[in-house]
Amino acid sequence: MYLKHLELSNFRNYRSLKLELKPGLNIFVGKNAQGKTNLLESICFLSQGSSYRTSDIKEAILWTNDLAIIRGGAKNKDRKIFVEVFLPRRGRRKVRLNGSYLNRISDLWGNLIVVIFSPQDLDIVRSSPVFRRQFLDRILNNTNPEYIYHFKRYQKILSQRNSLLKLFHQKNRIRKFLDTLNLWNRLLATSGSFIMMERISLLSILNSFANKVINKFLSGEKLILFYDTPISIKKKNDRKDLETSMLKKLKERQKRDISVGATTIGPHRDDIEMTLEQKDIRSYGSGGQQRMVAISLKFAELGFYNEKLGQRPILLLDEVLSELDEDRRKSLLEISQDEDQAVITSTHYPEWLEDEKAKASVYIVENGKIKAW
Amino acid sequence: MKYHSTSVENLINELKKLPGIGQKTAQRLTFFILSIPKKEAISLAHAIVRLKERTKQCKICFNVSDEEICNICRDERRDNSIICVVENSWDVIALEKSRQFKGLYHVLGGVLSPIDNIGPDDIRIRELLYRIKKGKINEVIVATNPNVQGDATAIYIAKLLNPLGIKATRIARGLPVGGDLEYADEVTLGKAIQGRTEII
Repeated sequence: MYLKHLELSNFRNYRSLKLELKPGLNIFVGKNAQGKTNLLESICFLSQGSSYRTSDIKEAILWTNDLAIIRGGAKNKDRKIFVEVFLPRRGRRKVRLNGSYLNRISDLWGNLIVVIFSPQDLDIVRSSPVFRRQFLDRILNNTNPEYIYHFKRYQKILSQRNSLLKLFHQKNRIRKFLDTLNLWNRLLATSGSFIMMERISLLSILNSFANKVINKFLSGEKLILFYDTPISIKKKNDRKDLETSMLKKLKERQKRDISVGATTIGPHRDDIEMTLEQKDIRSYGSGGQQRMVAISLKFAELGFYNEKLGQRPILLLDEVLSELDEDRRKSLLEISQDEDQAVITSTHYPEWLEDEKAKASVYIVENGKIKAW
Repeated sequence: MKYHSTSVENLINELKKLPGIGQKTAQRLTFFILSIPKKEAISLAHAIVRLKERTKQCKICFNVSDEEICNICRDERRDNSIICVVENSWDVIALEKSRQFKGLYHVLGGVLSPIDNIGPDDIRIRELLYRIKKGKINEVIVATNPNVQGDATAIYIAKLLNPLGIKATRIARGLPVGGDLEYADEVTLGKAIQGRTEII
């Protein structure tokens, strides 16, 4: 899949832009604050109708204007897709797909899929577990409707159970509610085991995709992704078994849960262990290793969508080149070149482009205007 | 907001307390009532007062009723070996419209929800057990809403009935009749596949 045509009107610092893109590598070179990231953000809007940078769409509208419009034409094999996103300063955003308005913005996802790596994605590797869980949950919510159901349901059961645990702190309430805790445990384990099973199976797929990419950067080093949970997993693909283990653990922790007034085990507390050559990369990896692992996870996400949905997503890389040494920069550009389409921003003209194997379209971004190099 | 008549303002404030009624709707209703003949307005007021004065809860099933015992519980043609448990009285109306259910009802008056501080003693579960122990009940259908609280309540009831040897069933989830498969959401469709039945 590749984006052929992009049109922006009053979006961020672009008053009016018409741009033709090419399959393969598209590199946008420009100084800071010229509008490179805004360009990638606009492509994300075409993918999911929302931004990864802000939830307040007013921020995305050029100063004093009432409406920003993003239009994009893409091609996937023989299929043409035309997406229009309307962002009004007042009222609700609207999305049109191939000429007809969508009832729900969420219906847009799946037509023009992008995978973006931006500097804050480094959090997936080096920050708190919540970023790693979010990484898995977002992919699963995008591809598995039953996951969305259990995911939302789990949150509701969890807040009911936590309220119940807090009620136990009031002496006169204990007797009245005590026999209902098992019931919430059971509901929690039913949805929780589904979430864990799906995450574990996704993780093993991502692991093999990620290793293929890691090998190109760090030769011979093996990345192992491991689903880290205090709930014992005997058989990986056996949901009943996971459910029983989770129930057992919930009972073991019951006293502690009551005393802290919160549920201390479950998929909402789990983590992904990441080791590179037996070293925990989350805390002991070098900045470079952490960055390479984060990038390879994004390539793995892309590979997963390709396998699951039969559509090669567009790769967006925001400001990663400058953070890498020359060899890795070269490797990254080489593997990106093999994608259906990669859109990359950079503050410098990459020296790799002088290489005879390099094939890319290069553009200059300057103050909301774009021209070919 | 400032109104020139306190009577107008009072009614608007009263109507605003109703579910689904905001400031503007309350205002429109108030001026509509102001415009109708006095007789009709009085009849509306009487209807509200009568609703509160004359209706009771059925002593058996806790549905709304004009008598001590409701029409359904008094009807001898109904099957008194099967009870359908619902959250509220309006669920009884919905199920009665289906004309599929010939048994009796039990109105819980809520569902288990620790967030709202509602436990088993706050809904009529004890009364349900009393009915079951007293009567000749074979089956209890739990027709609470298919959400987290409704499911929790269903499991709670099933656990209580299990040792008594009474069958507890849950209403099925699935596709709306007359709908197209392509318009059903994926989860509902999935549940419908899980709960499939034999054709012949």
